[in-house]
Amino acid sequence: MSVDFNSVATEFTHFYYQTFDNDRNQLGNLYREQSMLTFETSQLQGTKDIVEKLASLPFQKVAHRISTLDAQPASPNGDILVMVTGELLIDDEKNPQRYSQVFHLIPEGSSYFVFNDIFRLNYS
Amino acid sequence: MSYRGRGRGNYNNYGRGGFQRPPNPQNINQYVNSNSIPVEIAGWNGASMEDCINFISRKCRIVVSNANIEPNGNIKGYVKSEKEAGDLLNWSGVKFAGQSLKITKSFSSNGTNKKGNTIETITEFLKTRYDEPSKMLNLSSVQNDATLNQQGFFASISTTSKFFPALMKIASDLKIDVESIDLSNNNLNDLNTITTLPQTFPKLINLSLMNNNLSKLKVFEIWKNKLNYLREFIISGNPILNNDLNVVKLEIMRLFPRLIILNGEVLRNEPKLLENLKFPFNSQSMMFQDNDIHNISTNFITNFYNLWDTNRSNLLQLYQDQSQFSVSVDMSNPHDLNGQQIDFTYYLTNSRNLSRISASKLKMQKLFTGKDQIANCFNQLPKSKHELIENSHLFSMEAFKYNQLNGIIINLHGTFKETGHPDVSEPKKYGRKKVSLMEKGFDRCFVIIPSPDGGMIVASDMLVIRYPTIFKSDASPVANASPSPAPGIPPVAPSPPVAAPGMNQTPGMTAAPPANSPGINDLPPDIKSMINVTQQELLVKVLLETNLNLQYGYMLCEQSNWDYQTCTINFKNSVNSLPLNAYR
Repeated sequence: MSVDFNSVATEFTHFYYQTFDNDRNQLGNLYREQSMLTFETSQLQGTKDIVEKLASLPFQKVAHRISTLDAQPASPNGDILVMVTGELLIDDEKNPQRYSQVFHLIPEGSSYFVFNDIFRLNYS
Repeated sequence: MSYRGRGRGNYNNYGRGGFQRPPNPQNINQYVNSNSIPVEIAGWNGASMEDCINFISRKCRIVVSNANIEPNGNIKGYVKSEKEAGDLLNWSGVKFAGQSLKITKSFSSNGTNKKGNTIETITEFLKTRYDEPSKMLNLSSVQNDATLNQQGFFASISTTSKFFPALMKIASDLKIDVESIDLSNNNLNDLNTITTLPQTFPKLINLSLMNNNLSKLKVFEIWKNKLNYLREFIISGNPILNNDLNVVKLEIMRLFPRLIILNGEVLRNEPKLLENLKFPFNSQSMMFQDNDIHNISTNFITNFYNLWDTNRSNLLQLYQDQSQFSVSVDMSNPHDLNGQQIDFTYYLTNSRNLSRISASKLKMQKLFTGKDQIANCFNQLPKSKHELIENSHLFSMEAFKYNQLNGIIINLHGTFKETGHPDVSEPKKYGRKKVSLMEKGFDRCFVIIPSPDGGMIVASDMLVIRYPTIFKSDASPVANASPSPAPGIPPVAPSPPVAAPGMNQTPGMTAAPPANSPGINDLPPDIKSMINVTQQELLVKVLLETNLNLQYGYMLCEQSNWDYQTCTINFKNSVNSLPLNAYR
């Protein structure tokens, strides 16, 4: 196997949340025009709409804590599926919210972009 | 080549009726008028007729339709025009399967083309036997049909055996809409001549094979799970009924999942069956890219979990050599469970949490690949019950196309009960420790792709096991009936209540709500953090006016784009379908 999908998934996820927590306006680089984001019940397509949605989320400070991270290679072209569960700390709220998120990563040159991003708070 | 790159099938056998266009009887005449120049092909016997026709289509870019094998061994088929025929003749001598194809134009002795008559005759026959208002196709006693016999149809055995395949092909091209077929009195010994019936008539509801010569149950195996709408089936007057009738019934029920009536006897409780097939989730908790995805994924999940809970090893047929399965355990405790510990023992040995394990060998060992490894892991997981139908509000789901593989990604979240210890639990792993069975939460992500035979394959399967939802008591009807549950407790708002930490009160009972008149201050902080002040005001207003609980109130607002009037309309429209536990 030429690419270690485990490392890619781990590095990507850390980078993604780090960027999200520091300045989520910068996440646009990770999406493309065909990318889709499902954030709870909103569905968005394309870098611009996705970043707008993420930027407009009604909180100032946010911190992601990863609880589990799992990944599988998903196609002969090198796609990777990443499944994450974790906790979300919003503003000064002490009680974290739990979420699960699936990223479908597609290779592009020597890097990857997010083709599909499905975020869900775990209510049930 | 890997099967992952091959997904070019379709989902017709996923339990829906296929993607057939509506029937158009006018096609019949157009159909006869086109495809009218007969050609004959010799020297093709190195492979099957289909291979040869496909080869010609690829190589010469000419479609030969309605091909059949003539008594002289040549293939006879039709092309659309004299020009196409001429072009095709230029390819005569092309190598195919180790021989040279000899292609000629074909004429029948009396000057008209005999094959054209065959198509025309079958088309005419179909027209006379098809009753459009009732969508009924009467194919009873075809060998006694005067017109067909006049054409010398059943003079030889080979013609007889080709009649039904030809008929299916023509009916399929004509796209006639058929719900009922009578195939009685045709001396059928097996289904070999009518194997393609499910593909030709995917919406078939009633089928009679009465008074044939079917003697073995296994002949029906080729239609297994293919006639997904079949409601009534008649096989009386066949030697097959000399077998043990109970076995016959059970086998037939297994092969035809929606069959209600066999030989006039009711086998299944229809209302209950329909109830079970109904989509088990609240529409509010689902996201689908489109209707097709909705149907396919809900069918898949319903069937998958039915087997997962009752007969897990049966699911292995969906996993192939390159299929992957992994489990990870999320032990972070989101809320105070009164000190209750959740026992994850059965999952921990196989847990593949990349944020916890660093050895790359271990990472690969815990990614189960292929049927055997996956079966082994399935057996090590406890038996379970997912109440998708009884407690649909405990689940949510999202599904999207995975175009590159012609597949679908399905995410499911929810809570399940453990109902039994694993089939295989290795004492050396667990020692003498007694593992408790309890309720757990999960997230699962599937990638399903079509298999070459029209079924499906689970290519990827990732499972997370975690703590169950905080307000699980809210799920039981008893809790719902009690008067006190107030905004702040529904599953949509898992934030622990405002009470000081460490008080150890039962979840759901702590919110200390001003029960009847929620104000903005009573909204849980996590909800407040997700919406702006105007939205908070709207939510409170909606909660007051509808008496909905917070979960449903929030969903109503969100689905109404936070517009008051839309909320009112949507609420009116759905008020009758809302469950009791939608209210405070």
